[in-house]
Amino acid sequence: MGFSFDYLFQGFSIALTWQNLFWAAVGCFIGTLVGVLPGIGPVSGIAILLPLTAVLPPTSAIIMMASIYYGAMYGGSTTAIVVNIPGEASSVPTAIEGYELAKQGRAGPALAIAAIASFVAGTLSVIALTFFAPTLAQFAVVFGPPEYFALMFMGLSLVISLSGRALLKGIISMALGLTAGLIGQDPLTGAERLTFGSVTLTVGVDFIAIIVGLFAISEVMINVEQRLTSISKMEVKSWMPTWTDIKQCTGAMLRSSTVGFLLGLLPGCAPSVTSFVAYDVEKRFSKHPELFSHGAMDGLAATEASNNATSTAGFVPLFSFGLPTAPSMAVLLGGLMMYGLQPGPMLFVTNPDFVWAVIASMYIGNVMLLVLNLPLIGLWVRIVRIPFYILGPLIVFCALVGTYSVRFQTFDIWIMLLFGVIGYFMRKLGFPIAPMVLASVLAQMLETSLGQSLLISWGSPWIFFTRPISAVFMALAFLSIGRGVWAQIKAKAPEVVTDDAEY
Amino acid sequence: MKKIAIGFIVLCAVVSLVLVTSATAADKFPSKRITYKICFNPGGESDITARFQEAALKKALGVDVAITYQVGGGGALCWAELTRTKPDGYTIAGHNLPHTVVQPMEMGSAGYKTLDLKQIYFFESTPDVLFVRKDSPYKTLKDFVEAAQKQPAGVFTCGGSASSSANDLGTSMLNKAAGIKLTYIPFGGTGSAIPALLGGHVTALMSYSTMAVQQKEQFRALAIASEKRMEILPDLPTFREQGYDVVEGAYRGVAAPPGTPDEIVKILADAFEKVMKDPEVRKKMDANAFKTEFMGPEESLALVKKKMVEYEAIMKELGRIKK
Amino acid sequence: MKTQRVADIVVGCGIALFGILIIYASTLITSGTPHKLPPQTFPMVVGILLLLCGSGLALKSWTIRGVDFAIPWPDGEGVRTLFVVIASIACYIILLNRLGLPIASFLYITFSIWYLKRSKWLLAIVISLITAAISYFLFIRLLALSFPAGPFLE
Repeated sequence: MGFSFDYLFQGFSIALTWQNLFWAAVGCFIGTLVGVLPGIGPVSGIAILLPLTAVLPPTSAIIMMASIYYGAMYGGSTTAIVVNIPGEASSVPTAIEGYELAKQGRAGPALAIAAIASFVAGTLSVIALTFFAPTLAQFAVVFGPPEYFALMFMGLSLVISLSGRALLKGIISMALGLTAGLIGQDPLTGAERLTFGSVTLTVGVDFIAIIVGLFAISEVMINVEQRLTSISKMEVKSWMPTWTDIKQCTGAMLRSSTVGFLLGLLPGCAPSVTSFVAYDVEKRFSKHPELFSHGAMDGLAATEASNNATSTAGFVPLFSFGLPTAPSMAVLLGGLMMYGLQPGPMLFVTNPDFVWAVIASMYIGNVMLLVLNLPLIGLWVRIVRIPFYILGPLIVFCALVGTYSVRFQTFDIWIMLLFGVIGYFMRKLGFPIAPMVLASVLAQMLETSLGQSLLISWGSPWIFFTRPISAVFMALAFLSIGRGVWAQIKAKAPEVVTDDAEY
Repeated sequence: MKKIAIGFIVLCAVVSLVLVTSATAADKFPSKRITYKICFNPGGESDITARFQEAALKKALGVDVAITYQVGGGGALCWAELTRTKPDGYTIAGHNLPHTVVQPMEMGSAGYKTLDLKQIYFFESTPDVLFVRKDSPYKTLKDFVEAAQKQPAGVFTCGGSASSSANDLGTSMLNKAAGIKLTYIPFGGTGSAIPALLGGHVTALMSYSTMAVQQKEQFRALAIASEKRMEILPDLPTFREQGYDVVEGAYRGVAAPPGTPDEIVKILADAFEKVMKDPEVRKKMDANAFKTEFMGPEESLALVKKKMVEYEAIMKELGRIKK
Repeated sequence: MKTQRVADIVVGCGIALFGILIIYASTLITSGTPHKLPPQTFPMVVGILLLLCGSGLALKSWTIRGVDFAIPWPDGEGVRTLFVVIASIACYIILLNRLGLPIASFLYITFSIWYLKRSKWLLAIVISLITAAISYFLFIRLLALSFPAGPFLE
């Protein structure tokens, strides 16, 4: 399963045939649509197209489905930036920074940087995939339950830096998010928790409903209350980013591509964790951390780069072991099985043409997406200038459709509305919102991996400190917690979030 | 003026559409699109089976079939919703054993009762298979059991998909039959259990027969929990052959909302029968180590009732439900 | 609740009470299986965290008398607008299951645009008709998503 230039060239020669170019372009286009439209995510987008596998040759079909997958990542940032609707947990930091930029009249450069960051990260990741797939694949299985727990725990400790000076409020926000995530069945024993006897609550609260409520709905409420006429009144001068923007973001893109790619190799790591980690890393590297959550271009670039690196990295365990890292990857795996292609180390030996053609098509797909997305920016930026009395109701419509389509349950939209109201009060009272989102996403994974680890270690918590990888993550987490608490004790200031971390 | 004109045109379009669609309702079943709900994430065993069937099913029924997903609560969300759906046969859902038997037993208020679901057909099953890594010292089930007996309780761990699943119950049965104490570690699904064994984080893995094909490069299958060996896995001995009475696995089929007329259920069951006898479908199912089943409405109901008694006994014995 | 300090004290106490509720709720959890991480533990920890941080916030705001500032609550009209917005979304959700996505969306968007800008009622109808048509043709017909279609469009 090693790499050879012959295979790669052969792959390109297959990917560059008119037919495959055409299907890649179709996939990129659908992917962009899927990313922008509410109500249809990459998973259902790819799944709906599965029947096409009956008529297309395997290579073309998988090329198209793969391009939908990474294309949706490009498109996913659009609604987050323009109207503050993060379609997935992983674009929450995008919404935090991007929407601020849009309000400042810089929606165009923000969208352009998002597209460029996606392109850079996507391409770098395909290069890594091309040359090091077999080596990297080993990394994917190094993580067991204790390592995942330590990683999630470190993810949760990001609450400290997401809260700014309002540490207590940040922790309350996190605890409320955890509470929401705990409602329903316990993942390990199946026991019902915090349902208060309600049958509807046994299936739990969906975190997309929480996210959309906290961001989109509460934003609409704030805007209506302030009688906002449009999201940004500033004249859109140019949608191209300036050289300063690009220079400022280059480091962010490269760092986050690495973070996103490495974490993306892990089958048990959600993309949301990756994007929050990359965002936090960038905040520490940034020359102006005070700009974060007030429209930091490099924070936006970091999130988008890590998202795309993560999605491409997922192909390493998929091709090498047949392991899907995300629900969309599971659908792709299903697609491969429909053709009787068995992913695993043998795939590189038995079907090299296929594997290398798909990998080659990803280079081409990334270029196509950039070319497709940059001109569209001109269209998207106009949205922020639509009068809010029209845009507001449409945002509610999109939020409702997007939330409902996750599980087709009316209950979820009630939760969305409830969290819209909660989000409104949190903003008014100065509670940061990001910790709540992060916690509600992490709650289940955190508890599951903790439970599994304790089963393995026969109840001893030392397992997290005796295994080197988890020990490093735990140390980082405790360091960050200790520093935050110390800073808090020293400051003796009231819990205000006026200048840092509005969210 | 232009705006009024556009508005008028759109209004006309909507009205005419309403008239056209309401006029097409006919009395012959099926006369419109059937929704086939999958209660688990796309890419899982249920979804893959449905995708194998899709084309043949459309042909057999003569109408369009839309595969949609409603995921949550380990399938409970979708099944609870099904019991509240209009029983006209136009909405059916995939359902699984042991899930639909165990959930109402264990959860108290799963939102549905096992016998609420109107059985249409069971079309496949995947017996449990015990795996270790390719480089493991245990070449046979006997090696494994002997090694486990020498260790203190709980040192040997066995991963699997979800708790109270066929994997979980299979592990418990093996523990009992072999007098060993494997610690069962539940994972979020088959997909997240696989890397745990690949990385050596668990000693063994109780998974489904499909993995014996998918992961044959990296895993060694020790035994299969079916009554007979499977044709596609001729070298894989059963637990029974080796002296351990473990027969367990997951069954998959389709069910309709309660109160669906028997004639409609029969039409649907006949269609699935036809689909499962289609050589193309059979070939794909066999190649991926799905065990095809052909159980019509009565047989399916009998199986569910039989499993209800069996599982209740096992669950009581394991202390999962109160005696 | 007018100033940040008073609000923090009130909210802190509320959170602490909520924490007690969660702690109580976690004692109600029953599970037959003995387990290394019983299902009660995590909710209990979260409840205690809420109780501690809530009372901590109240206490801290009580003791520190630093710079205080007023919270920008909306005026009377703002409150009324907000209330109507929330109520209209609630009606939208209720109507969704009775009338289906296209018709409920049509009614909601028409009403909302009209409410926020009285003079633009015609524009409101046009935009909501387009949205309703998109939701019907794209989501229900073409993509076959399980949205309620409504009594007339099924």
